[in-house]
Amino acid sequence: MSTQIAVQATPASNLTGYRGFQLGGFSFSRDEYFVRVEWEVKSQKMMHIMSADVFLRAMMRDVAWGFFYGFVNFDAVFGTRNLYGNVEMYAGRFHPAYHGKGLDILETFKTPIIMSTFKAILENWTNQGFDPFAAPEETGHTWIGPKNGENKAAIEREREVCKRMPGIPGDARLRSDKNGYPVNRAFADVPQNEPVIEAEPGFEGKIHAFSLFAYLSRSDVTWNPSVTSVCGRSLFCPTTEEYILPIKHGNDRVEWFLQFTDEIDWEIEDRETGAPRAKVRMKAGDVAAMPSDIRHQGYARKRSMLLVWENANPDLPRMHEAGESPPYPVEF
Amino acid sequence: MAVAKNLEYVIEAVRAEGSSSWYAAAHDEFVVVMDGDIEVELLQIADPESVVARDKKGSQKLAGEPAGQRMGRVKMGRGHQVLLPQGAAYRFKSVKPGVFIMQTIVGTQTVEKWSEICYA
Repeated sequence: MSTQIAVQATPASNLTGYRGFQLGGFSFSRDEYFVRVEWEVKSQKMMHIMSADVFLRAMMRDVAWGFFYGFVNFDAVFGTRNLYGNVEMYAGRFHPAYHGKGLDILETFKTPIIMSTFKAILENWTNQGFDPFAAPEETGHTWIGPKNGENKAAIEREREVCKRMPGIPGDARLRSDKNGYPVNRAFADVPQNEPVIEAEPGFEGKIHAFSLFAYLSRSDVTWNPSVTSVCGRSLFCPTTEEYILPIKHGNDRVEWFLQFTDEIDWEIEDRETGAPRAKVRMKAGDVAAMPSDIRHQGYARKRSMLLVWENANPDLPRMHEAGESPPYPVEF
Repeated sequence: MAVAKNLEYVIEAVRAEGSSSWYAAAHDEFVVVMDGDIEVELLQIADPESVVARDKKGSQKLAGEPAGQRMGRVKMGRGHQVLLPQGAAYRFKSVKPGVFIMQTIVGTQTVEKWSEICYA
């Protein structure tokens, strides 16, 4: 038996058709173009405005990734931080202009409560024809305008996580035309041949190999890591990237990128303040560490394949916060 | 050689040319081919813990082919991934030079040369 969580929502607006939402001291509303996040501090009413498509793309990732690792910044002002059982939501806390004047807000919520609210927002504010997971060229502009239908199929995709490796019986499925995963238009040149397995008698079905690149070429989402191999707590989470990573990700642990194909430009900022720190252009074959004290946002002019490598050790955030593990992975 | 490291875990980049020695690990490992045509042979070790102790981490180079049953082989090209399962020994073959990455744990075979391979 599951318990329904009551989400605080206003009736649909007579003007736009969208509902407004409230969680703690945060109010959320949207109109034809924009989302407004409002809060009150020092007896002042504060308001932060974002383009609705930017907000929805970021929120889609936050929901689909279960608030991910660390900080999911929708932009330089608004975001969430995963405390694994609780989630912090903030506006301005990691922006010096707000935080320096004490005009920011940060509140902590039990994960189920904030997740229910975010799902309700996503469902009500995503119009028919708009897929927050797709690249702009692949989806419509129906995010613009008053409320018009919905797109539950797009927003309720499950993140694909394997136990060991896709394709192994009982594990995540491989992708094919038959199960609804055609080759993406940007990867038409990716060979679809699978490894050739020659098993000795008695070992049929006991050797496991697949074409990772063909698998990735059939991904129907962008900027959405899915686990494709598990070695202890080491997770390979490759993903296909096009346009802009919808969030500035401030990890709570070191992660690594290995560019499988094409190129991505990364903007690297200080995790706490957002101050620019570096620019990294990754080309096919390049490898880069993302330290635990930065936030990063990627730009891909063409759909590319990126290996995101995570260490899922649950003690890592504490180790970094306590200074037991440096923010960078190696010294030389 | 390690090209990425996160505490005890590594991604190792390996140049494949000719035939390698036999290796085994006490845990699963994974290979993704980045370039070339590479073949891996797999052998189910008869007594895995006598070859690689259960608490030994990372890829271990073996003195020769261990006792066990040949499982078969996998012929791979760019973008292909194979599971090197716990309890199996493996050997690579490549007629021409190729490259693969291995997802594994830091071990006796891991080579670290960060100052030589990293941009400062």
